[in-house]
Amino acid sequence: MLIFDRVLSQDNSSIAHVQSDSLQIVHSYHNKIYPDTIKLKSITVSAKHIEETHFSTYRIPKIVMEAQKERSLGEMLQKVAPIYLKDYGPGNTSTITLRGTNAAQTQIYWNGVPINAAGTGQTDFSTIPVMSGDEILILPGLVSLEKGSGGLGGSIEINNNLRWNENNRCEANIETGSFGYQSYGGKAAIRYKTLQSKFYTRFQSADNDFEYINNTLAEPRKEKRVGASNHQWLVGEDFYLNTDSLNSIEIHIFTQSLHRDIPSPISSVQLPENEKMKSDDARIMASWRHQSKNQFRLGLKSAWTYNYMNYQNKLAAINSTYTTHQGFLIMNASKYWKNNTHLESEIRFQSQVARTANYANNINRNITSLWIKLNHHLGSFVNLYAGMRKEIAESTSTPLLPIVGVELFPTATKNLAFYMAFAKNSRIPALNDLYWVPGGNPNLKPEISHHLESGLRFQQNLLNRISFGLQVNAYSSRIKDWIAWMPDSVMISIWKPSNLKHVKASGFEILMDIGCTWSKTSLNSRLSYAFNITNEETEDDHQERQLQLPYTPQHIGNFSLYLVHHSFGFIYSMNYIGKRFINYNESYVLKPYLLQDVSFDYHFSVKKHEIKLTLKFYNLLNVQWENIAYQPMPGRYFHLGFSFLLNH
Amino acid sequence: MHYKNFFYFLCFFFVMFISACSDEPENPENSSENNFSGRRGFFIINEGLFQQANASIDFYDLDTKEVLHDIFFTANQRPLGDVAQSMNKVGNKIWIVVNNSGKIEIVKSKDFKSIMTLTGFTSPRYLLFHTNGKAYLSDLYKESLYVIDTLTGQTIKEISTGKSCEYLIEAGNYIFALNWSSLNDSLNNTVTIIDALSDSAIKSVILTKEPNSAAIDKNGNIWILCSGGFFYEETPALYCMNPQGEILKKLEFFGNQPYPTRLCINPSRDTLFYLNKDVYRMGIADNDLPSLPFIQANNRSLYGLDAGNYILLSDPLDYQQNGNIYVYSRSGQLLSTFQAGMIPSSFLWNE
Repeated sequence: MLIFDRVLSQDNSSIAHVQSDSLQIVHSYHNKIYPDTIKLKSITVSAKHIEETHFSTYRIPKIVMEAQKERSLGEMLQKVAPIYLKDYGPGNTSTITLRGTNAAQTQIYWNGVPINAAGTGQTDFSTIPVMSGDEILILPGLVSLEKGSGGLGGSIEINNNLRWNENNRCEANIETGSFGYQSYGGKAAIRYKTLQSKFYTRFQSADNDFEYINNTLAEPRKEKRVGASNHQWLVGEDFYLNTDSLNSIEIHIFTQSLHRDIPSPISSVQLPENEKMKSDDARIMASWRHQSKNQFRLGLKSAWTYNYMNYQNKLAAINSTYTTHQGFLIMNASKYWKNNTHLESEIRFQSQVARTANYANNINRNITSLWIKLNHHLGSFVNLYAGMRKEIAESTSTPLLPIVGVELFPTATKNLAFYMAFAKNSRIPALNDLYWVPGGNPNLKPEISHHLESGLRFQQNLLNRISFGLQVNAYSSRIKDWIAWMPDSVMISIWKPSNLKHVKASGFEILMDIGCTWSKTSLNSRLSYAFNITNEETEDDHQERQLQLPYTPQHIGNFSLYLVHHSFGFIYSMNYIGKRFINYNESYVLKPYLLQDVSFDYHFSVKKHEIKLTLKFYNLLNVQWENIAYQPMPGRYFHLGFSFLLNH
Repeated sequence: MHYKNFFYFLCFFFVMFISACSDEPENPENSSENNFSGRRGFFIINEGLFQQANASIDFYDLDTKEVLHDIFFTANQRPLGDVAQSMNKVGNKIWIVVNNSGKIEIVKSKDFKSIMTLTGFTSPRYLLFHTNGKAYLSDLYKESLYVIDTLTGQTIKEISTGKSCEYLIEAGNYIFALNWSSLNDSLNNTVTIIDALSDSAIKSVILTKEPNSAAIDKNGNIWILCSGGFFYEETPALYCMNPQGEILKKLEFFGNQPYPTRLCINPSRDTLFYLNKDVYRMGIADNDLPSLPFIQANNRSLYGLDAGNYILLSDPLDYQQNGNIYVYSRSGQLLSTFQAGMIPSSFLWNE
């Protein structure tokens, strides 16, 4: 007899899938802090907790995702997470620097499928819309090994989740603002018995013709950004089906098309519309999950991702295209025992196919990844954790990648936890590193990293009204055989990659959440700070140069405040990025900056339907700032939004 | 009262926080003035990284061994620009071609104070100051040469060459323009000869792919070094031509994928120097290329070469950090080593 209910507790602390005779609770630490806006009747669920090991995982609060749903992942993360994005301007390329690593050393997973570009190994964060995910997690450092290898700096997960609490609903959004910004989007969610479907789409465009002061001229003057326009169109669809009490099927589809003009740095000749980029992405994932009565779970997932990219430079007569297809087959199984032991295993087959005139031949590469993890609770106070990953890639040999950790819970309520973990990780070279003509180096070795990390988590709820959360992590990692491109020693016009550097990164991160609720008012805040030192070791004697790597800020800080009172909402966010050196000798720096944004919203109902008006001001103090040298960013600007929600 | 104190504390905290975010100069170099008049030494052109606008000019004083970094910024409190390509001294002025900024900065040679900035170019590369009082400028993306009035800085004419031009050298009334770039599928194995009296191209001579540098010897003959192409399509060669453009000598390189660059000549104009991983030298009367290097690279990535009164070499290391300069005697003895800016590529003697 199928009984499948949806339960979302009032403070959204746990999402429980209640099934006829099995129960699973996915404990979510961060969700305790941010109440969801959806009103649900609360019910009590009692079950045995099976603790997951989290180490340092940051979940982006849903209230933030809702407020930033029209933005790109890069734009949102910059406001709320202790990370740095090398951002070439609004609507333009944006790549991540996580714990001092480069963009290829952070892996991005979409519903468990790695989506970093096969060619560069990187992900452009400006191409990932926040609205394409229901949940975004940042897994800095060693914990990313659980999802896959290659995340030497960490990984980011974008997941689509089942929301059984949602009624049939239809939503339309319009947003307009400064610099020719326009966004038109919509969502529709339909539920019929055990089938749920969610559809979303959006078209967005912007001229990005903001003013900035050009300080590179003999007489600094105000100029207008030219050749920086972009437009993006996307469509997504998610299906969820529970065939019976033990089996569920999910299908996720996402496709987008993006066109952008690439502006020159302001120190270069301004040639509007000289450089253009077009990118088409499509991905589809289907999964089946089975849960047996004896706590055994089985999953099967297959996915296909496609990327087409065209780059044009009229003046340099470049018209380059790059097409990749990646196929995935992922099988996982896990088993819980009554003695608090959890065994998890996964095997993943990945096939990459790349077509471009910049490779001598069409490239096909197969990668197989094996993962096994054992989690065991010793009483109520100790959780032991051990895992191992092995990756087998054609023509590249990778070592065994172990991870071991321990969590201590000094209190019976488990609201305080200390942890310590060690892991080894590796990243196999991207296809461009191996095969690009000219320069590709098929003899490259994988990058290898060693991580040591420890930290604490604490959370406390007072009177069911005030919640407090604190997470502190300290880490040290060393990456050897870092792949870097540099000119050939003889033919200097050809750049070649080699395993050139050894890099050491260390630092700490603090994340603090405070929330309180009374009557019809709720106030939540999040404070995060990250300190990082990343030095290169010289090849000869492995001595540290004690110079911070370029574009790696030592200090990053964020503060956000969310106030909801009756039908009014107010958001304030502050983002501080410390100085960044732009060369290896620390002789040139980009100035630190402090950005402040505010947002006001008001929603009201007309019959059963809801209307929401939003006004957002970005860079309130009109700060002149850059994330990449000579790529100016906009001063103060605004967005005005209108949403219409149809409930049924 | 307590609330008041708390408010003051908050204000104090806020002010401290904001002040901690105060601006810092983009370049920490000091801004004291320099004077190069009468100083024995040379300027170093540091290309900088493409699109990062960290090109700079350094000065090395041979007597005091002092290195003055980023002298353009020091004098003008603004960055030089994106990819410094070449530098010429004319009278008491220095013209600096800044490639990816599409400009020429004209500064006073005594202190590097800016006089004028010439703009409107797309990708300027090399300047040649002819004895006729005009300056000729090559541009990577132009199939012509700009003719510039050196007094006003105005472009007075463009000479059509039909191909992109690179290095320029004067031979009497002729200008030899090397056609190095294969942009837009144009032939990049020729030298275009321009009549400086009529400012028009008169002929084109086929050599080997990628003629990259040239020198004129004491007999008035022009030596042109060709690297053979980006993909080693042809065997690199060194040509000797008379001022009329007739080939007198062709010497082909040998060995495993040679890629010779940076041909230059000593002050008495009888000995040629070039880079082919190591530094090589040969007399202008020699009929064979040297088989042994004059100065060995020894794990250095030699990039810049000058054969004035001293042999000057640059090593940009990994092209991501400040490079090194090596000063050798004319007999090949290492005299001094120092650090320059990002990607040091060429030199200009302060004479």
